[in-house]
Amino acid sequence: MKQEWRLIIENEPISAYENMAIDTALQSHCDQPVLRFYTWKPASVSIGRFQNLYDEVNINYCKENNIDIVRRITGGGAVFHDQELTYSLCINEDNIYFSKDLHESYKSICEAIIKGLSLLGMDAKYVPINDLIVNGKKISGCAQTRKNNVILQHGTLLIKVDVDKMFKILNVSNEKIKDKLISDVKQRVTSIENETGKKFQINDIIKAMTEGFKLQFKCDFLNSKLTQDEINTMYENKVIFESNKWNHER
Amino acid sequence: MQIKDFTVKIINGKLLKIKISVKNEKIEYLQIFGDFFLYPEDSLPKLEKALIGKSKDECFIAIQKIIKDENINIIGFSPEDINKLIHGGFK
Repeated sequence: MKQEWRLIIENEPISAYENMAIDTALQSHCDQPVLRFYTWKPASVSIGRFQNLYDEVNINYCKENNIDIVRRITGGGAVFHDQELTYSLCINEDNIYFSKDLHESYKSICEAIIKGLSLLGMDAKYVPINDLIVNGKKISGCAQTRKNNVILQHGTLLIKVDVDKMFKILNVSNEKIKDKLISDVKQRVTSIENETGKKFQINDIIKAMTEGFKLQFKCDFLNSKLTQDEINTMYENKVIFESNKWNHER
Repeated sequence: MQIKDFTVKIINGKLLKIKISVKNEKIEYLQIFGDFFLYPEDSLPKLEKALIGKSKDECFIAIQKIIKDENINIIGFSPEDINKLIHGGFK
């Protein structure tokens, strides 16, 4: 018998702080696997748990352009969340369809995204530990954390990319290096629109990705919303993600 | 306190940065940054703390010990990588 997983689709884009608060609330209350899709408003930067905020982000540019900044609970690099779809999966590490092994679990979830991208006409490949590439260029990145035996993995999926804007929010002071990096990033990053030449409705992308998870994990999905306990925890967590103490931690 | 910065991109790994201050041949300040993954996440301050007061020759053993004691799993750099970067702070 197929496992039944929860599926939460945010119909409207929400803030970085709320998005991170919901992901961690779902992890705290996870007694059944839950897959969530969401977008961001305003556009935001998330930095990895161990990154130096001042080194990574042009804070003044972000303030002037209404771009929120949040430190993730997960490691990895800084991400500019603008024209993208983000997913998160919370699942108990003892789930029979899942591997406890760190590397295998990253791979396994990325394989679901690969299957979803395939349904949209793209041939993506997994590049350990946390990247997916199409035609040699990065289209998706992800990061994972574990707490109380529950895995939380969240990841991006670029729908459209503005590399110049992406780089204005990065703190690279040396112009010479900056040019090199922009050139490098432009060559390394791609999006669903770039690769397919099509403008998909976001619901069609979500549908394809959900199907990818179904194929990968042999599960069924039940449309779901946050429970009252999850909402309560989300509000508690949101205060932390909004705080200078957390975001300026290092 | 004179804090120095060192950064290295690990081949087939992640970006690793440190801010370090060394006084009388011992580490008096250390912070480790980067886009690596480290589990459990709250053990990074323990790794940093374990190196305070250590001499250049004591660092590697201290790194290995805290990784073992706290069961730290790192993706993106090795104990050798961080040890090598820290050694820069002693020059």
